[in-house]
Amino acid sequence: MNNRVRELRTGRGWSQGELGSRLGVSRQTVNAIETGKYDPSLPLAFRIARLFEQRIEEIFIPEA
Amino acid sequence: MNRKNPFACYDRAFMARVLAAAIAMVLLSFISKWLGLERGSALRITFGVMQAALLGYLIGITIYSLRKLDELQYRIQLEAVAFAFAASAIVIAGWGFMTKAGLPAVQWGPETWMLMVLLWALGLWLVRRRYQ
Repeated sequence: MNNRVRELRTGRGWSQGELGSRLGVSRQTVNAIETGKYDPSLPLAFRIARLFEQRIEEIFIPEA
Repeated sequence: MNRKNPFACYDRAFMARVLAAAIAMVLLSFISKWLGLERGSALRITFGVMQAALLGYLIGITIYSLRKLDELQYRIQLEAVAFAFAASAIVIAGWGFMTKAGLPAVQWGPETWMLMVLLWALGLWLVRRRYQ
């Protein structure tokens, strides 16, 4: 699963730690999501989408 | 979670409680030996029950600490526990086969717990590599 989390985060000038604090997860979890090594749970994906004011499918893109 | 320390996701209070419970268990063993309690005596059995209760306490606070982790750390810990569980079974069963082949027998008591903790640490190291 590809995602635009890094792009959206850097667009707001947030560090991984800051995004983690806003989402209630660790910096390592944010890093693993951004690098595509970990796909977040549905509740966390919703929190991410709500935080960036986008729909989930606009942030998380399934690999073809 | 610190890259160098697989247990960094646990807070100091948790680690202090684990250490205190481990020390209490070892102390109970030493006191039991020092008093020369006979096997099967009421006091010796009481000591054994206290050690088992401490082990239950350790499991309880470990589960409580795991539940406080975020979803990725929780997943890493559970995968490491699964690894430790399976690897411990392999080591103990494997040693059983080797004992039948002539190697010295090992009475797996508290050693099982220590083996599982060591394998848990190894499992953490292995699983964390996947998400780095």
